[in-house]
Amino acid sequence: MKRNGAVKDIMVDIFDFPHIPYWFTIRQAMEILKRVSSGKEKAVVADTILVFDEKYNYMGMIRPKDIVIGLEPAILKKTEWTTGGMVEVSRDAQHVSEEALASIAERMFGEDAKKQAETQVNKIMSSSKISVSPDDSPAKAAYLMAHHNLSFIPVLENKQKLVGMLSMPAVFNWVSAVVLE
Amino acid sequence: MERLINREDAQKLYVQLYEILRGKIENVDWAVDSQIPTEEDLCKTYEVSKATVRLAVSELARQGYLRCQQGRGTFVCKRIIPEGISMLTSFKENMIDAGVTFSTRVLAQTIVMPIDDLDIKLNIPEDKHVIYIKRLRSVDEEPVLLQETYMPHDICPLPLEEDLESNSLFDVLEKKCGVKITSVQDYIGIAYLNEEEGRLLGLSEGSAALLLEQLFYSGKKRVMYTRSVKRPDRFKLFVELERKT
Repeated sequence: MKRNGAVKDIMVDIFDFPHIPYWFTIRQAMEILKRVSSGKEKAVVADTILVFDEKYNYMGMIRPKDIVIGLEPAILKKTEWTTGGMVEVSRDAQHVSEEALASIAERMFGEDAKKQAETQVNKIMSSSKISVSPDDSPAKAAYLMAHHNLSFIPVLENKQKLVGMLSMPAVFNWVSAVVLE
Repeated sequence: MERLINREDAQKLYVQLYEILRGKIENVDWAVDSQIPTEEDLCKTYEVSKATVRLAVSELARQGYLRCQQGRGTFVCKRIIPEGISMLTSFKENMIDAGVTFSTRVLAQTIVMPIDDLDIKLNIPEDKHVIYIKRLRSVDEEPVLLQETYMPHDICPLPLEEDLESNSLFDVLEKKCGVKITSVQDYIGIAYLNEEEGRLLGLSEGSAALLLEQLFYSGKKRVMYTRSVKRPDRFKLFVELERKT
């Protein structure tokens, strides 16, 4: 395999992903994920939704993780529920006690999450500014994705028009072909 | 130079008079809410019979240009846009017909996935991308119509990129995409405006508007669905039916 392959040779077409505009709600995004993952043909990659603005400019993506956190923003705030309500107990989630975690888990995804599901997706999407261009080397994509812990990186033409998405497995295939040569 | 009736013209007298009077309204020779000359005056000016004047005036009244008030006279109306919902009458064509200037502002031109029952309306799988176009249309700077259009992306991607403020979507579809609309189904009803629709149309939230939903077919294939909400004081629907012989 040629070491000088380009991003455009291994990227995935954007129409393989569901598209939504930013004003859709978390609930609508969840319904779309449910629908496309149950589709017989599975024409789209079912766990990543691309978010666009009203002029079809790419804004960000939504994955199941973003939705889970979006429904329960407290997850990332490292707070603990007590009978009196939420209190911030620790800056470090690693140190939440088993007991506290059990009590948190019991209350998660209840009525508040249902209300939270009406939030617009632009509030919860991952809107990383990091991207590559179609002619970049996959090695550059590998560097950026590893550094920023990304499973997909958007491929923008002229730093503006979204033309594809590059996945970590595709980058890995390129890397392994080069290294095992 | 005042246009007069031409008796050499093959056109019927009342049709000629209708066109002359309509011109006066459209050119604002006769202002909105002003009283038009009496029947006698019109007979004298145009040298026609009372019956001719009555036919021309009643046709103008029927089309919303004039209103006749018993005992008071006949007045020029604030223009209502008559809407032909017969085959292939697009908004643009209507507007030109009606002689009013309109403008279009594109509020959104992007891609969505089908939600609610859009996949059923367009008869497409749930995971198919749909072009979404939202336009606000104004007459004399006054917003009168909010239109949302959905079309399957795989039929033709061009409507996503074209300038739809100056080009008609029908033209793009028929001339650039080569998709011929062969039939249209219209569903007419009442919509109660949400906050955003009300703000855009200059009406309050919850007020009633005319709702027109249209399904466009090319042969048996559904190619477009539009949902339009219209200011009820600025539109009336008009249906022309022709018996098949």
